[in-house]
Amino acid sequence: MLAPVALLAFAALAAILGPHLLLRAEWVQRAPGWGVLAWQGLTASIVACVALFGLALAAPLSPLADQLARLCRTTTPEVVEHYMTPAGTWLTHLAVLGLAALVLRLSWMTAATVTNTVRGRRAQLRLLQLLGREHDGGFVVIDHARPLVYCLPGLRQRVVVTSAALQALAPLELELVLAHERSHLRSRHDIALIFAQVLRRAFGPLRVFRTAHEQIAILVEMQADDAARDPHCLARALVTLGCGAPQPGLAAGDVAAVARVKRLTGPADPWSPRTGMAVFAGTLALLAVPMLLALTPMIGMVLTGCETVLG
Amino acid sequence: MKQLGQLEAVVMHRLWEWARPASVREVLDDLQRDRKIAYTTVMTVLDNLYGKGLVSREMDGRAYRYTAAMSRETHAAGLLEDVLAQSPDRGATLLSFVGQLSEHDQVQLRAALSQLDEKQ
Repeated sequence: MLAPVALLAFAALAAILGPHLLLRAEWVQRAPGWGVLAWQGLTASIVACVALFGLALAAPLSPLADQLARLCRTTTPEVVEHYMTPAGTWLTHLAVLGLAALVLRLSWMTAATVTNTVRGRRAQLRLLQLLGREHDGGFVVIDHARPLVYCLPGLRQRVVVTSAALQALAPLELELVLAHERSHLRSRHDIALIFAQVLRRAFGPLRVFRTAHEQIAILVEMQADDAARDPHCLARALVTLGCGAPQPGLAAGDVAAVARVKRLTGPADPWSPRTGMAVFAGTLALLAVPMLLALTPMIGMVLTGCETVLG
Repeated sequence: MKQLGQLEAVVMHRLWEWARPASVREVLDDLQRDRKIAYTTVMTVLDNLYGKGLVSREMDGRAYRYTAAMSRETHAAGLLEDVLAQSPDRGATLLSFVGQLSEHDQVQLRAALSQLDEKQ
């Protein structure tokens, strides 16, 4: 009985406290790569809690109980005794259904998201072939009045620059912007974004997943910004392109852009490897706790000694 | 298949350039100046483009005359709509360097940059 309750409590705590802490933590924007890992660890931990909650409730069911007994070197009746709830077998069956639904939902969301993404990229590539021309700098140019730069991740990667952007940017600025885009492609930031998007769509109503997706999107941009060897110049390029296509009455535009410019033009804060290790350890702990909580009944049994086996 | 895509691009460029209805024969004659290509290939390409909605056609005597369905600019605008659209549910189809700044932010950031330039 303890395990499922503890798991839900931890999930709730993580979902409420986690974003609160990460949004205010200074180090997140200082080392955006670690920030992304932290957000991923947080959301993965919550999903693990939910899955293990279901597994803990379903544990008394015979195939699962047998497996668990073998794992902890005990007997099936022991497992059943420690994981059965007062509610009885109907709850265990419900839990199995719930788990199946969870697995199906996640699988479906992943497949749908990946398919949409691939389809979107393919359509873009087709139009690029039609409208674009290859530039010596290793990118595609499209004739357009608005200055835009973007990249298409995937197997057939492209960096796209509009003719207006080519005119608006100084040679060094263009070089830095290209470095930023290529950093996205190299680091496969799109995969991190896809995972975050899948979790957001699968667990929609829970705010933590939406926040995580938004924050990861901002942090990967900051991480790509760090690929530029001249941060002030990149900041200039950000403002040039950000002011490019006037849309009067646009209340809230790209909010991340302001944070990015501040970050690029502010003092360079030192990053100690110790903080990195702390983040890594923290993330591992976040992922380990659900496992431990799920196994508490078994741990309790081991501690009280194998009385049933002996006596 | 990839070659066909390249040919489609070449044919579309011709149609955009001429900005008038063209028959398969006219397109073929122009393309043959640069490469060896069969009538049936050009016909297939134009047929594909028609199927994709990129060109429209009308009967002129016994043959079709093809026109680009949309101007090049409109096409480009359509392509870049995805990029400009800032949806909160950001997909990972493409990654834009920066979105459009609000007027307030434009003023604020321009001021911050000019301060920086003065310091240097």
